[in-house]
Amino acid sequence: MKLLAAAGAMVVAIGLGYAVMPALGDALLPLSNPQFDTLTPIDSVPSSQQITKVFNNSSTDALAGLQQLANPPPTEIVDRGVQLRSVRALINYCATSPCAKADPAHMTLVAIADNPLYGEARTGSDLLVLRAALEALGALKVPDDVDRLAAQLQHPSRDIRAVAARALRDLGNTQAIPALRARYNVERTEQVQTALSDALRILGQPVP
Amino acid sequence: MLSRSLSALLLLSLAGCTGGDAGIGDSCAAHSDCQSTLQCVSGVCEPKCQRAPECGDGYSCDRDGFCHIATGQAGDKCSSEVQCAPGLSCQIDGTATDEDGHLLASCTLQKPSRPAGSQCALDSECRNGTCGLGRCIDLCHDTRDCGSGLACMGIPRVESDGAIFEGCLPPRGTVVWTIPVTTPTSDTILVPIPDAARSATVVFQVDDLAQRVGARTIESPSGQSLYTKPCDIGVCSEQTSLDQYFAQPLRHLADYGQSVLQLPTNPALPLEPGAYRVAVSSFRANGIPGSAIPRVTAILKMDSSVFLDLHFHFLDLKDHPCEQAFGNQQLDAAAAESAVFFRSDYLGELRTIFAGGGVSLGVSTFDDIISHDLDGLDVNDVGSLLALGKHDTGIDVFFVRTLSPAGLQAFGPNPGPAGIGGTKQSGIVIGVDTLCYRSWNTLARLTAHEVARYMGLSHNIELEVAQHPSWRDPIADSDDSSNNLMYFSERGGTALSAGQREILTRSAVLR
Repeated sequence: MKLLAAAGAMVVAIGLGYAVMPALGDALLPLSNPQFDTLTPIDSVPSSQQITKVFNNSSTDALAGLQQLANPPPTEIVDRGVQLRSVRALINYCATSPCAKADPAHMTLVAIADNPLYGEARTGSDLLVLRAALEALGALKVPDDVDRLAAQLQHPSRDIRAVAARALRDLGNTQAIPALRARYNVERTEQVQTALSDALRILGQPVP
Repeated sequence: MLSRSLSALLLLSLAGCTGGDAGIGDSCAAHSDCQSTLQCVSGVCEPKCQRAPECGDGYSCDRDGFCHIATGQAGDKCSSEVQCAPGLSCQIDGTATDEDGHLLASCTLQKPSRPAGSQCALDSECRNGTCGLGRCIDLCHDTRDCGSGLACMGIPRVESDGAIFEGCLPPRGTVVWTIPVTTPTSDTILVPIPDAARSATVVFQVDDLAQRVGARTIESPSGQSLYTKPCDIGVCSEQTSLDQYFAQPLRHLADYGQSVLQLPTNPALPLEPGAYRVAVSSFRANGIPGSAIPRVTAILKMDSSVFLDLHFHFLDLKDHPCEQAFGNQQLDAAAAESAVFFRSDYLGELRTIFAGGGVSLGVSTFDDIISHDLDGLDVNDVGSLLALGKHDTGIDVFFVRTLSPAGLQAFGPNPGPAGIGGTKQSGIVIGVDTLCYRSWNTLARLTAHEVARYMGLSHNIELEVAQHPSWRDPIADSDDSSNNLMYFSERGGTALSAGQREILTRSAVLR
């Protein structure tokens, strides 16, 4: 089953003006032009219909392709812009609503969040991948993710702490309240404070 | 050399002999008594006129620069303010027109109210009895009849169903006014387009952000139906609604709290002088009529200026994960204003891209915004940020730390409210996190794409164009190429067609 364009097909990411070029010898996952275009719109978020269309019109193929693009093996490289949209797009491919803990889309996002490559990043685009995964986990509303997301409230990056607070808000699990309140009491960055107080308000525990 | 100088002196002397010797303020009996640059007015030499108002109320200024007192008396027919004697104004009679279709007017006693150029809502608020486009307008026959900075042009009169009169308006910059609407769903307004206007923008607003507002139908001055609101999703399928949207000669979508209509967006459908008829309405989310009374603001671009000012605003970007792209220092207004990567790689690329669109970058301004709840922006909150864009000319560009949902790189209205700042759509947003994996050059292309959408261009094709051939921009000469600036994905280029350039250069954001 061919999910992505054949190796040797046009690698459309070339010429995009990378901030950091892939190293020689790294394998760039090939994408067809329609696949690349679908996964790199500038000012919109691709819909599941749009994505499925470019993966053989099959949601199964689309999910498998997105998993590969969102969390590629260490030997393969995905254009970072494509990867970020792929991470986000996984929320559309849970088989059930609410999403089951063992759903492949959810498991992929968990794998990204738990991947040290992203989890231990302190700067650069790896941090963006972690942020995208946390945001997507919040949208999936799997209750068991509360601890995983709450742990990220201690992350050194203010952007990760802020997105973790928003993800806990979206998760809607009141078990997050103690962690949110504890972080709020020590948080010094206003951007994060705002996200924490917003989450506490939505979860029914407004901060005075 | 000497003979050439003598010749010049002789010529100057001869020129001086065409008038008399009397200077400014000297007494005179005829124009010929005064120096050649002067005229004799009421027995005193005064500078020749260029515009009638320099001569005073009830005077005209002829081609030779001489003032003439008007002789038109009350009740006499007139076509210009300068034909009516002092104390009288040339006022439109009603709806009757002459054989050329111009409204008839006659000299009428001036009203004790506001002078020409003042803001107004009703004729009775103007000394000259004519209120149009939100200001008191003098009738004219020639630009010499108008005050400095104004030009004589054909103007449709709303009170006379769009019939034309000649009046004085600014030929440069923008003309902005509000159009009264009295009911939530039943008003059809007339949007008058003077013959000198280059483009028009109409902004619809309601205070209730849970209601949508916009046009239901739009008809051109020549009677062509340009727009009928697409069916609402739920009433019809999303695909049907989109098909109807793309099939319109003129594209427009009602939106929550505010929407914008731009004319023209297609060179094949040029701006028509005359009155456009726009049925205005608020709508509930499900498409049924709303209860909010719309507010309507119209903006006309009157000249062909092509300078685009960009006003850059920086939210708090301290400790940003992509700070390697900005020299491992904090990117703020001061840093951006002086940094090579911003000046050269970013602004330089923007300048090159817009030069290809016939637009020149004008002034760039830089400032910092302290609004920490918007540092990492959820696109659902974009209205709160864009409302901080206060510039009426140019475009406000906001740099935020991140944009959510992840992967979104830029966002802005299409089209934007060109010509008015401070609305929920007044600007575009750029997510700085893109700089973790793209260059400043690439960010410039994303910015230019979004700016061009603000100025009225659409994506040259939409993603689904293969299944829906009509899902493309309405401009005939913009092809489907990914080299185009308006290509929807990151794979796009910077090319613009002649038709796209035509629309860009008409935008009211330009000065």
